[in-house]
Amino acid sequence: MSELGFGVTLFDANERPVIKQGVDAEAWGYSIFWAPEFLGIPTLEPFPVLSAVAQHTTSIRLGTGIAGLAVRSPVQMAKAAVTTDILSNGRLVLGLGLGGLVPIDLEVEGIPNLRERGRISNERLEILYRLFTERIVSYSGDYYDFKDFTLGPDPVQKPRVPIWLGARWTGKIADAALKRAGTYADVFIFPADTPTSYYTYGKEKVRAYAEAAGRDPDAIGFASTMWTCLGPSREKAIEVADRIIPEMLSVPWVVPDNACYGMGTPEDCIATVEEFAELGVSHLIMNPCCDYEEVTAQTEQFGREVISHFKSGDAS
Amino acid sequence: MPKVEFGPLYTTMEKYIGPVEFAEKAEAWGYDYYWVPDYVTLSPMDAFVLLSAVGQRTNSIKLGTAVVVVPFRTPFQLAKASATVDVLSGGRFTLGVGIGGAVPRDFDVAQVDMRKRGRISNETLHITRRLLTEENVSHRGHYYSFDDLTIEPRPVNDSGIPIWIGSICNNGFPQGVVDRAARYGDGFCPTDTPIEEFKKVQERVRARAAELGRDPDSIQWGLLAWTCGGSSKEEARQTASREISKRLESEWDVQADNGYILGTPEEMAETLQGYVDIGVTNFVVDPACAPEDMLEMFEVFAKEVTPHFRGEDS
Repeated sequence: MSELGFGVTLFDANERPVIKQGVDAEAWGYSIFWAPEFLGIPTLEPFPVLSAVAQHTTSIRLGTGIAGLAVRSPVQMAKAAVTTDILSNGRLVLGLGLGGLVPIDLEVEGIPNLRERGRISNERLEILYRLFTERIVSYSGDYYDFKDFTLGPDPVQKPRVPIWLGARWTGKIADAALKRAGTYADVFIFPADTPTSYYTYGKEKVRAYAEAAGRDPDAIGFASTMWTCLGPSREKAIEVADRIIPEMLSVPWVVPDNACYGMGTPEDCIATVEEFAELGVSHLIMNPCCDYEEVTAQTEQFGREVISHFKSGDAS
Repeated sequence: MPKVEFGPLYTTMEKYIGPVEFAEKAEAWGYDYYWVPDYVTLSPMDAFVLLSAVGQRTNSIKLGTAVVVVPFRTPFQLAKASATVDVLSGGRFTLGVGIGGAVPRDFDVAQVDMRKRGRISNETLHITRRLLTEENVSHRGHYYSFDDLTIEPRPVNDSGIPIWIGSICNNGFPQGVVDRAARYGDGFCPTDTPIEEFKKVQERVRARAAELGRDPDSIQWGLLAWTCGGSSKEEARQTASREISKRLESEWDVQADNGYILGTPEEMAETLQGYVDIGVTNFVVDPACAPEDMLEMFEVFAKEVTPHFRGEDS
């Protein structure tokens, strides 16, 4: 089995901390630094942030976590991705979702409802995938119609930048999301709220859709987002997370049982990671939901006391 | 006298030097600005992504787009991406914009009606400017309507981010360009513009700004100038004609008086002085020589042309 990877997502809009924490994340053993995208809350644009962090790091991979298909045209998305890949010498991970988790993000883009968002996003994703995999692209769909377009320079990564697709948990994962993943994703990211009991079903669906799309199902990897709050006990950590997550996202939220929440001591988190590794997850995106002023300290502690536990040759 | 500023436009040099490395050189040579283009099909990189990397590798040089084609982005993307580059560079960003049209194919791929590009651009610039200078913005318009949006983080400077309006002079300028510059421009930076045409458009923009209740003196003037060195103006003119034709894949006959900076360093300085005399303070140096000669040209320009305008500093 390949080594487990860990990513970290930071919600801090302040310049110094973002660059500094990208540098720190590399030093603390994270393998991917994820930059989120929301229009309506204070975050920087993900691609420029990643290309800036790339100037101060050498090995950590840089992920959009996640960039919204509903808020950017496919050509723009492709161009921003290739530019970031070049400026980071091939370290971009293109994490994509529909976007619009914060309602105003959809409102300002003039996308009237979630159904429309899905349709536009599907078309955009197909175009994006083709821009990355075909030399000359012509397309005719409901929203886009063009002939013979060739994307600018090639990315450093061959044959293309890796695409990771996320989804939302709303009592289930939409079948359309599983199909998108099977058709286009290199890695599917289970949302943190996905119950452990769903993983086998979800993976099989993605793999079946991959096969239907003529792809090798074994080539698709799986990741999970892991809301993380370190504390003296699981109960104490959950108390904090129950307060912080709704604040961050401006939506109601309660920490569920049997989902990907790293709550409590480092040992508690290690147990959670092991549980999800057993389910076939090879990358965990650590998403801090502790008190704001503790984000940096907890990100470091997680690196030093949880990630280090899973590093080969460091099983002390 | 306001300071006269110069900045190279990074274009078609990819084979010889990377964009970040070139920015480091431009700063070391004393340039005030570093400009990058942002077309869909013609330019290889996304300007905002590129400039935010450049911001990390330079200390003081100002970073600008020349130009972002407005109708291809929403005002929210423009504002957010601009604020991001500005914050990451400590307030060094300038947003240079145009309405596009030189490359019709870009409009096909972006699914934007080219005939409406002026109208789309105006509404987009109106919103972008407000998002960069105001909080809790609400807007009811033809293309966009929304309530109570604040772009965060905020630009570093309270005045927002300077917006420069670019345009090509084609026997003068349409009223739409004049109006756009007067409404939304902190600066107006046309290309292919003879001095006489420049004077005319200055008067029109200033008059329109006054009508709109803006202080005409608050608008700055720039020139995006194709630039080519040579042992004489005529030799440089021929080189520029050949190279620009190659780049644009169409016959291009350079008229030396149309705002082209050609010839020996002294001849270049003399041409530039003509524009400085009418109040132009910002020159975007667009290389018109062969790609393999661009690096050397920019170095010579920095060392032998710009000192003419540095006054007692030099």
